[in-house]
Amino acid sequence: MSEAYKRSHVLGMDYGTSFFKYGPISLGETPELAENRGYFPDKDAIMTRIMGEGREVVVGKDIPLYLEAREDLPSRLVYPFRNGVIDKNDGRAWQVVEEISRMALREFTPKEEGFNGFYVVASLSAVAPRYMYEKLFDIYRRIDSEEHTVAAVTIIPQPLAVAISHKVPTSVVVESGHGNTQITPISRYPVRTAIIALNRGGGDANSITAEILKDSGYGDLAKEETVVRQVKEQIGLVPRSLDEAIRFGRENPDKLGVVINIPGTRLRITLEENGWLRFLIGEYVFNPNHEIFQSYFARGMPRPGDVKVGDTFFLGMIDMAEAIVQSIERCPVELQPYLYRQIILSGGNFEWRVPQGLENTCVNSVDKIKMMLGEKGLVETGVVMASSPKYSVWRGCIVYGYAVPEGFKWSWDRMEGWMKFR
Amino acid sequence: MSLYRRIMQRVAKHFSKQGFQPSDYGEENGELVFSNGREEVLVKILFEEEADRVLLYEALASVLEKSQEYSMVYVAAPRMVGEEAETASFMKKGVGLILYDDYGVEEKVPAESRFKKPLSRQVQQPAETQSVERSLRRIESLIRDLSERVDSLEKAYFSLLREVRELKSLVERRTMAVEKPVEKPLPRIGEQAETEKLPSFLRDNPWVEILSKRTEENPEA
Repeated sequence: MSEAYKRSHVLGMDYGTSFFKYGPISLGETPELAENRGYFPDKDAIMTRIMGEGREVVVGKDIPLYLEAREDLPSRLVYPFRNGVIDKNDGRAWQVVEEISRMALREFTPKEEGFNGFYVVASLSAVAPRYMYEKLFDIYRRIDSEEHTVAAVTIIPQPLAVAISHKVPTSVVVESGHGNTQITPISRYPVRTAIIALNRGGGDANSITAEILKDSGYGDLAKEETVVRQVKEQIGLVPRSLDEAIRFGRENPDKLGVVINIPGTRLRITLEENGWLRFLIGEYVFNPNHEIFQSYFARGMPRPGDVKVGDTFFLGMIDMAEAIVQSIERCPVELQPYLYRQIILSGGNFEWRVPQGLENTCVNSVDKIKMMLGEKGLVETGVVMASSPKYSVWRGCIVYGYAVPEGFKWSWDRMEGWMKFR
Repeated sequence: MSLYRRIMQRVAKHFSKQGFQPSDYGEENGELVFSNGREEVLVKILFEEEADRVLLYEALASVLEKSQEYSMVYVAAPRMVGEEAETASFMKKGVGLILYDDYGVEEKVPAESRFKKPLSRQVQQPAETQSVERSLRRIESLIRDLSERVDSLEKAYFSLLREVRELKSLVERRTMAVEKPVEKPLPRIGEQAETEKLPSFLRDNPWVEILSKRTEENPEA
């Protein structure tokens, strides 16, 4: 097929932790969005029988129509990419991936004569093991054999897509999501041997928030994940220096006291004398090694441990700046200064605000990383937040598919190129 | 039925033919008042046994005193008295004279109408005209105000239009100044027209050139 055909039929698919972003190049600046989840209805349920469909898994906008008020709802609602990596034998998760991919292709398949399939650029976590690539190719092969909608597929790591959409060829992308954080140096290619993954993400910030709620007398609310997340988003602060911030907080409780209203409920949470605890939430994301966290570990809060998922080790307790330094130091020395100059922070776990009046005590994620690197003697650094973090991976996919030549075949050695099934 | 009442009925019948109905019987002083809803007529009746010319003129004088209150005033007198009377005084004063006998009633001198309606019409007509004129003046003033406001809005509109055009040309000049140098590094990828249609994240993206060379490069090199 011609280069022109490929360019006009590129379709991006970003398998994010919470949302699946998809759509062809013709959509312009923003893709379609669907929750990255699938629902397995009870086939015996009366509603399923009334709907008259034997669908094993439901995805996309139809899910609310099938949801049942059941205690086993969490086990029927599957978020396949919750931790970035899907287990090889997790049949239901892979079923959701297939169904949601099929849905995206069907939604945009044109009626035009001469349509011969999309050039699909899918994006997975930087730490996705090889078997995930193989499984995903199998899914697209199956879809194409049944529906003839996939001309070719390629899969790229999400950090590469972020770097592409930011128009930066040499950079370090630090992606911090719900379950983990990945640090990926990129110099025209992802430097796979230098990728470092942390077993820490937004979920761990939730854990420390739950402990703070318990200490403040709201132990019953600490069990509800949604409440804990909302509290974290409203009260979490990143301290410039944790020791100084705690001292400031204890001396000025009025400046940190806070009352939180949970939207749509009568719940009010008040932190008065304990306002200084707010600093622990942000600090824990960047560095969980301060002695103050030991008391929480001693009382049962899970300590982020080193784990192996697929082929990748996820480090638990290493501080964020140290992880960036270690990752960059695995790259050629000549390249390192360029990498330090372009550090892109991406993902919801970097969205921390600095309240008015606390500018001397709190910082945002960019300044925190700069300071932490500065403490390690690295002063000439450039750190930026990713713009439009929601769409940057999809945009990177579109650029990749548009630019990579149609004749460039997939190579398992290089982990790039177009995989064709016909 | 008494004689008085019979005479009154005759007079009443005469006026009823003209659309007047009795509204007040003043039997004691022999006065009758008729009304047609808009006008009122006073009739002073002289009865036969007491009537003479002197009383007739006294009756004339008494209705004249009340003439301002009624549209028309009459004196009704027995024919034998009335025919001898000098009608000129009645005509001069505009007072009507009715003669009656056992056979009927005759209007010897018609009363001059003092009805206010025609008068009031003459008075009201200018008032209505004045009101119309006032309304016209108000409308003219409103039109003048509106016209002034339209003028000022028109001026503001043209002034804004001029500013928008100036800003537009300024933005276009700046866009051209910014875009010109960066359009050059994309010689390999498509035509310029095609580039302009592309989304912002694709335009001026150095990765397009890097990725388009993928087959030519060896990543290990």
